[in-house]
Amino acid sequence: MKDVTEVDSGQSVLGGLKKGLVKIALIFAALYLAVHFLNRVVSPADYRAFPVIGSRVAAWIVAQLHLYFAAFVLGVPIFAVITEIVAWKTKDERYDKLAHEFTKLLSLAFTITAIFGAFLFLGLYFLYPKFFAFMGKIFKPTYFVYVSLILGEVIYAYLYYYSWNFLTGNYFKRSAISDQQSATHHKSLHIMIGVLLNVWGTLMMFTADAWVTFMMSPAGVDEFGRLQNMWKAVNNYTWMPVNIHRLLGNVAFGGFVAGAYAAVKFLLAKTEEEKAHYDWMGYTGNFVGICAMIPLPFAGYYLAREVYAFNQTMGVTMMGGIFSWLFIIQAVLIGVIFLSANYYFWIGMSRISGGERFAKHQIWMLAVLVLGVAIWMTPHNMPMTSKEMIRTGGAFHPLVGVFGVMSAKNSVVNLIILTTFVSWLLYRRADKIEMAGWSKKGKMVQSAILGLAAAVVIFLGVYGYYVPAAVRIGFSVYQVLSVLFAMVSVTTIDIFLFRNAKRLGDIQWGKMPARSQYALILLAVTIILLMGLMGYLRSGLRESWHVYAVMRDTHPGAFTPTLGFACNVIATTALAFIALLVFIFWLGEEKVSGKQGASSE
Amino acid sequence: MNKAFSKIVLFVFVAIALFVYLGNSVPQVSTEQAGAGNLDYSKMSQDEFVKAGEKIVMGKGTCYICHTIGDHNATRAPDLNNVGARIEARAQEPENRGRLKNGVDYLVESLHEPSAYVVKDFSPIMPKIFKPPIALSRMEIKAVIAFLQSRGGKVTVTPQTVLDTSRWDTEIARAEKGEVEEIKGHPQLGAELFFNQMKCVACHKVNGSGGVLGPDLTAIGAINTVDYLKDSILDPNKVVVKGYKPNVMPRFFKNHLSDADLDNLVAFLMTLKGETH
Repeated sequence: MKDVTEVDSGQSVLGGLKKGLVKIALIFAALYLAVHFLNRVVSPADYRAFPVIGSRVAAWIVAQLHLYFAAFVLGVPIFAVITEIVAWKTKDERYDKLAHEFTKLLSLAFTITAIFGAFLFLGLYFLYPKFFAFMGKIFKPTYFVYVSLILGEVIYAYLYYYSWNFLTGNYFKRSAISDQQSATHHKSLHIMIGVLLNVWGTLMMFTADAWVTFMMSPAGVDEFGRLQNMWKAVNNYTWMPVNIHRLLGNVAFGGFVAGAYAAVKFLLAKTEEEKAHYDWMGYTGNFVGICAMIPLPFAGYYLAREVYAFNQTMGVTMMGGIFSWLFIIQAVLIGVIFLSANYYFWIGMSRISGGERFAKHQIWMLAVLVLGVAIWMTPHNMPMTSKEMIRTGGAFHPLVGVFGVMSAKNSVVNLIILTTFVSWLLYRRADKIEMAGWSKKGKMVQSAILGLAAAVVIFLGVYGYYVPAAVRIGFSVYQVLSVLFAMVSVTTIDIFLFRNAKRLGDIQWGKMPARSQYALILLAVTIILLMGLMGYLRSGLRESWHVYAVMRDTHPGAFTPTLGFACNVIATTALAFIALLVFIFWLGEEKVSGKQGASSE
Repeated sequence: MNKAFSKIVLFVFVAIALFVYLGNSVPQVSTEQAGAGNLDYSKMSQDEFVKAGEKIVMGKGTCYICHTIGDHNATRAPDLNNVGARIEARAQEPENRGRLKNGVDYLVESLHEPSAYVVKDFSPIMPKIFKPPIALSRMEIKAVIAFLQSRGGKVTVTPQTVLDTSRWDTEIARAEKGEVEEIKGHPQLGAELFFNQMKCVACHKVNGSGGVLGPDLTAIGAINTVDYLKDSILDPNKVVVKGYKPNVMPRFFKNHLSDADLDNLVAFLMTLKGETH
């Protein structure tokens, strides 16, 4: 099996850094020349047209591809550092090699991200000059911050990758304690570089988030768009919620993409050893993805609350107006994610001796998940003419409309999350029998906590129908807290319960049916589509405004497109992204083959 | 390997195709294009005007998001099905009497200052619809009122009706001004021109000081645009404010002010947003 960590040992750290800095300098130089050239050949205008597809779609595609790759280059380092820390703590070199393997992909991915970023800058500068000039007046100082962060990110990324072998040294190969202690010093330094890489990446994302969230929920400007307070413009209503949502989303994205990569490699594997390795990699990627996915609905709810707090009209447009059907599509996609993730856990139990004991629980878990997703995707508001409304007796369906409200949906989301947690709990226990004397009582307490959390969620969900909206909104906090409490407390009890547990056998990595890998691929494809859909929502909520209620979109062709049109564009960008990602992975493989071939000659 | 890889590619395509199918199967709603709303209301018949109002209520006005038509269990905002039949009674309610003369006044106030009177059991969540982001024009608001009157009542509002919006005229003017303007120039240099070099203050009052031959400019920046101010300086007879005479303001400024001076002067005038005394 190809071992990517064996190659690149010949590359010096300085050589690697130089490579990265030269690349980014070339991109900046090309951008500067392009802007300079455009300034000389075009005459002033408020808007300019892009041929065939129009400016809006052109900017949309470039922005979405830039964001996909940005999510990748932000998510993968988080995944890599988490895995490297696990390797450091458990002294299991597999995790270290996994982290290193993924970090290798960052070099080309960073370049592509930067190229799309340059195209986006150029696109906005050239196609929307009036809007670009306005944003520059507000955020010009942050542009310099952003460029500095890009340089920092490049330095840390290349440093992180090229110093891997040098700083890891013989950490995993030495067995003597004194050797471990001296090796630890270098390994922990490498991990620190990885952490700083992620800090830099996060700060970059926070900076860019200020621009896009300002467009959505402007602050710090007067009603004519004149800047009054820069910090308020940055720290607007939706800035921190989007920061949190994107941070978690990037981790989930990175985990699921890693899982899909492993799944493809598993399906193409020729030996049992390869299958075992990629099965394990897929499980690890999926686990990280699910851990980040679980709190994402809570982060999304926080974001929605801030949208409502900023502007009720925007909030109601989002949930009850022309974007209400988008949330039905979102519910379907998230439902697919949770169903696929649980399905993967359940099939995964078949490779664990003792896992068959818990198969009987899958029926009720599946029932909860399917019912939950069905309720979550039930529509409430439906676009109608006034005559249709009178015939229907209102804007909602008389029967299923009951379930199409937040009281029901918040409740089922919490139940779906609890069920997924139980799936993971059973997976964790699959190959163990607890030996603690208090195991019966411990398990009773765990069941009671889970039951109580579910009861709180359901009770507040039903009660929410009978109280005013302002009270009902507050219930969701208690629902979330009860679920979080259940997950933390049950996990804590489980850790103690299964200490010194009797193992029923080893996990037979690689003994998985092909359909389990398709579940991992589906997870990655779905989260890519979901990201595109949510990006459309964030952008489309502004409707006929570049900056909501401050700078109107006066382009003659400006309008909010249909959901169908949006899905067509999202699908196109998703396919383009997946194709480019496959190319990056393939290129990485070819490089490894080439170098291994050369070294063996 | 090619067969296995082809299966994976096909799987990905099918998954994405299902997403596209789902996205195109749900009800398709889009907002109208920016230029499509420029209707000539003045030529409309009464029925056409009412229909235009309905289109605004169900579209640009976003009223349908909160208001239902025909739902007796509406929770977000009052049902509008027979609103035309209720407006006269609403105007006569004790807390409205004196402030509102008739049902039209009630609708005008409901749209311009929704929190002035909130129907029982509902919350004051309605925004002022002449302001961004909804930003309905005066004519569009009239069309909405005509539609609302048609729901169970008699339609009296036409495109030619002059509504009493005196309580909100300044706010409406500011909202109509709307767009982000590029204001070049330096206000401090403009102030120097205004008070010392060009001596505009000889004829125009600002914050209680100055002449009375021309309009008070204390709040000129709050309700006028850069272009209007430039025109007023360079071609004073183009628009003469009601109550003042033409040919009083000198017309030589276009020869005495450079482009930079004009920008500076206008930049200063745009800073004047105080109350007129």
